[in-house]
Amino acid sequence: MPRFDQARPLLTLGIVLLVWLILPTTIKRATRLGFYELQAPVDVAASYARDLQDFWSQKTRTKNELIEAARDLARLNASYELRLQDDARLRNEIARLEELLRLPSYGDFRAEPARVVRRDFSAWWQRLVIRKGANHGLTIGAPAIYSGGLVGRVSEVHAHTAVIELISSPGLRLAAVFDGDDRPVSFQGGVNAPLRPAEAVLEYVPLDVFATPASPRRLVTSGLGGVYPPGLFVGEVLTLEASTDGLFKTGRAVLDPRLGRLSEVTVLVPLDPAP
Amino acid sequence: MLRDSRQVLALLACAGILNAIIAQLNHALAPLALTISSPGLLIAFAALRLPAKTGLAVVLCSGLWLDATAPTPFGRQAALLGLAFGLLHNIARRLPREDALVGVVSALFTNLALFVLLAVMDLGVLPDSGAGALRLLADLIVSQVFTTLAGPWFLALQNGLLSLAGTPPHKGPRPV
Repeated sequence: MPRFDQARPLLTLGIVLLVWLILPTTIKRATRLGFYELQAPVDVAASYARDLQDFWSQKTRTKNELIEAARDLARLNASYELRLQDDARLRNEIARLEELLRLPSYGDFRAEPARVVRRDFSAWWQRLVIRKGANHGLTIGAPAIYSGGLVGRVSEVHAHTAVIELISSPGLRLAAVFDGDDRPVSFQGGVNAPLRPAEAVLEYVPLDVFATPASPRRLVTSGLGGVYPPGLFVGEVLTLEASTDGLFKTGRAVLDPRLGRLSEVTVLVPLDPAP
Repeated sequence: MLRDSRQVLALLACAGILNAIIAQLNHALAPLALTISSPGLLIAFAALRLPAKTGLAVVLCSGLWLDATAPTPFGRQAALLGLAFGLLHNIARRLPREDALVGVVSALFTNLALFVLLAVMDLGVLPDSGAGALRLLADLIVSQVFTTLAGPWFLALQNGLLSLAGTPPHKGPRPV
């Protein structure tokens, strides 16, 4: 009898697991959603508290500091105005060339800025929870960017929050190109050593591409596959070496350390999502 | 039955508080590429002080809560926590269960066992196992430091909340 008592928790666990295995997926999905939405308000409330903290810390700034900040912002706005005019000209040029050459046009996006609620970075995954979700029309697979380039893609959309899988996550692969080169290489995140910026693994790099710490190469999105717009900065390649089969090179891309400190991102919601 | 449900709810509230604190700490630690996780703390009290059925319910619900926010198959962490609970519950009768030090040490060993188990199961999926192992080691050290510091407080919180709910854990030999 004491033996049975000892085995009782494990026996109960075995029965529970057996029931869990035969439980319909719909019930499991509903349970997951229930637990997630139970926790979501706690995270969102904490992020609002952080914003309030920032607000009150900003209130301690002197008037002189605010005047200087306003002056810097005015300069930035002026330069952005010029860039916008240039951007409109280039867009018209692209549209004209697409029509002339009968090229398929790149998908168009709507920019949806969102505050970061929580950073969830472990050895197994690297994710951000943001404060916008299905209520703002976010869709799974939409790319997310910040001032430094590509952040990742939306992997889960909930009622008022969404989860972004970062480019430093082992589960994220994409086709990237070296700046000034149009041959795609395979990019996979997931080298996240402690106290260092994240790195990613590169494969299928052509043999005639070189990169050294003295002359690093910029890696940008290729636009292939239609998920990410082309030309978004992904990382910097410092070393490349021949792969074991000798047909290609492999290497490492160092990702921007700002990825670990993001407090706001912009999700690019496709205006014409693929069916 | 009512007593059991009150115990489960009180301990789930404690698990929610701990999860929220760990989530905020991880948010702050993200730029340093370090992560805290302390599943051992979710198990220790339930395995040492509660009857099997109530403890298992608490641990499985806490595991599902962790699963809901992780990109792993739903139920995996719950199953691992349940297994750890079963093993700890079995050896608990040979331990001075009401001692806070025993609770903290149990949580530390449970953390270690779960870290090792996850590393054995998943290390191969990382593109660089060496960097992954280094990261796991750093995470384990930070997590164990956190568990050691927060353990006594968390065990006292669980005990206090159960007393507040009018369902303090039994003293002396534990009911099965």
